[in-house]
Amino acid sequence: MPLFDDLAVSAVVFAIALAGMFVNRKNLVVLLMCIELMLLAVNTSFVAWSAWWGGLSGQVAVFFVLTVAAAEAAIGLALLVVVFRNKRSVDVDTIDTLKG
Amino acid sequence: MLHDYFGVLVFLIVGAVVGAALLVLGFILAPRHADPVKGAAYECGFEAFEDARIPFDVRYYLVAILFIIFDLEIAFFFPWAVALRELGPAAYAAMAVFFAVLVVGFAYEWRRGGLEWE
Amino acid sequence: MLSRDIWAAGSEILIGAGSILVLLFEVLARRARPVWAYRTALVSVAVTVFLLAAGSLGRSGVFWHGGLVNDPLSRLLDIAAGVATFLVLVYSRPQLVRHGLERAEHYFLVLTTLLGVLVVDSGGSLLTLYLGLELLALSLYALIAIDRRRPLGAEAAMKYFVLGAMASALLLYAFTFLYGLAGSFRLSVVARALAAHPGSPLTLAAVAFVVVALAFKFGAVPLHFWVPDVYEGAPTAVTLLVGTVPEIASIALFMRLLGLGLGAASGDWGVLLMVASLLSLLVGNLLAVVQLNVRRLLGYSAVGHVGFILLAFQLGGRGGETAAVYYTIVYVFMSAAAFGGLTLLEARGEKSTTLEDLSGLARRDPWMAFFLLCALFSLAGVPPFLGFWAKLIVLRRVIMAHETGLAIFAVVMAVVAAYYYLRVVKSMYFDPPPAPGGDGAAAAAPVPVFSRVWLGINALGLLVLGILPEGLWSACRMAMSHLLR
Repeated sequence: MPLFDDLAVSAVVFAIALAGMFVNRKNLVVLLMCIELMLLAVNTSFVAWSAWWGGLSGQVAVFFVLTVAAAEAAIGLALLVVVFRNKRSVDVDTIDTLKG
Repeated sequence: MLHDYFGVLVFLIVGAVVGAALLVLGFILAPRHADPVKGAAYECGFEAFEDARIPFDVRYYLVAILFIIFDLEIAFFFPWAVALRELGPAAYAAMAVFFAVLVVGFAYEWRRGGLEWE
Repeated sequence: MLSRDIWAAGSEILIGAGSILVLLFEVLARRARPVWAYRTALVSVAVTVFLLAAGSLGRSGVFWHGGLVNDPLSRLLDIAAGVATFLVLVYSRPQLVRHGLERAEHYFLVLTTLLGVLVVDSGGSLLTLYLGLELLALSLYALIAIDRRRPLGAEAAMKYFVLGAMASALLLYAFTFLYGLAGSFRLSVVARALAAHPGSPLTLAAVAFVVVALAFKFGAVPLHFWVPDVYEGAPTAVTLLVGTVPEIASIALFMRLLGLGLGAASGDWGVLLMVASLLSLLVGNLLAVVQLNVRRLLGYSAVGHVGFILLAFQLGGRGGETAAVYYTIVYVFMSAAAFGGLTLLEARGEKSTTLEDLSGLARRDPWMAFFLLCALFSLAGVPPFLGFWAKLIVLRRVIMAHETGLAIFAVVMAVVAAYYYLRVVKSMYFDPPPAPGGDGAAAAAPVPVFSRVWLGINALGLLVLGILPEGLWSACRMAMSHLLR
């Protein structure tokens, strides 16, 4: 059952990425990597379903998701640079000024 | 179904052999003169022999940011180019608009000095 | 086919062209002249709203293989988002100029935010909804951090970005399930597929992920952390935008995705939304009471208002959804007046961060204090104002659904909300002004009349529409009775 295998891979990757976001308390760059990984898992799932249905729309969606992921990575890195310039650090713990 | 992949196997073997052969030939045939300039930093400004896990200059990130967007926008050109004949002038117009937007974005980052290193 | 269908997206094309024009000016101009970016943005938004209201844009129907849906709801939400963006632009410019923040990029990003909202409003497929949502979200992340001298902005943007990207990824993962069930991205096909396979595990997983992601985007408890942080951390002019225009996209997303796409699973998401709604009402309003920072206060109160909106929406059925759409539109304009007032105060050279900054405002600037009073009374739900009718209609729907307990709880929370809103009013009208010689009074400068007049129209509109509430309500009912998908 290739569909099941593909979806399982996708689910495992997605779960790893999601867990990474909660387990990682150290580095903001790792958080950005986890976000990318989540989107890659989504893409895997899209391709798997697309192959199962025999249509192309799922694969077209992958194109769009990839593009959005690139834009998201660009904005994330840009924010990272701004945070780093302000705090001289990319530790997750440093962004805790806002509270209450 | 395994023999479908036979070509891949041949490709891997040939690739490995050719790659290794070139390295070995270079090692045997090339003249060798030690020179301090050869070990000096080049291209990206990194030392040639040192730990790979060094902090990167923030400017690399900025270049990466600018690169990654255009890199993936280009991906849209491939399916478009393949299917252009069937799609006709409408697809041509659509891609012209897409490209125009991309060019404006590129002109903007150029104008803003995003492509300057210093 | 293309030339006929292309103008179905006329409003999106106009706003997109406006944003490109703003960027083009910036590229071609020898010196940066952000005022032209401002004028371009203002004109493109005004023209779009006018053409939409006149009915020349946004022809009804389903276009682009279901990707784009124009119906009365999308038109109503487009107009609301356009008017709100217009007000945001008008209010924010004096403040941006005074604080040296006026740049063409700001207006460009405001326009792309609006474009994202317009796309979501008429999103007929999962892909369109996702792309519109991301355009909106990415513009907001950049805007929140646009003032690089403000460390709080970067921090708030980073938090919002990480959580928002995670919510988007969850939403997208849910979309893969829906695509797997239906074999298509069209909401109508998805709805048919869900009706054909009720209660399949894929549906349940998709519903859970979608609700989590949407609750985040709307700022409902337990995914509300970003709201007060962003409201406080963002530059004031951006807080004004974040607190208004994106809410339209949130309710559009709820309507399109949950109402029309996943309507068959309303039993599953109704329960989740009810819990989120009750928690939002409770946590948002109670935490707002203890805030001394006005923007954090308004942030938590926004969470409380989302609780009201979800309370109506979770009832399921057109009646509750109509009340939710009505409440959201009313809330956007109340919020625009409140944050617009704070923004214009900063443009005068005053601070508007804490309650103390506002004290004695009625003596310094009676008109501004009165406009803020209108906004706050309306947010609190004081009778002749528009906000009262929004709350009343939601409560009536809840009682009609025989959920009297929920209604009583919501009323109690509305009373708590009235307490903290009236505390701000008391501070403006009855507390003595801060000690003279501070930085506030000396630097006071006049606010441009244009912005003041629009704030007056906005604030008095809350009162006038509150006295004559029939028009907007029937517009909402009309819009909700001819939905397409």
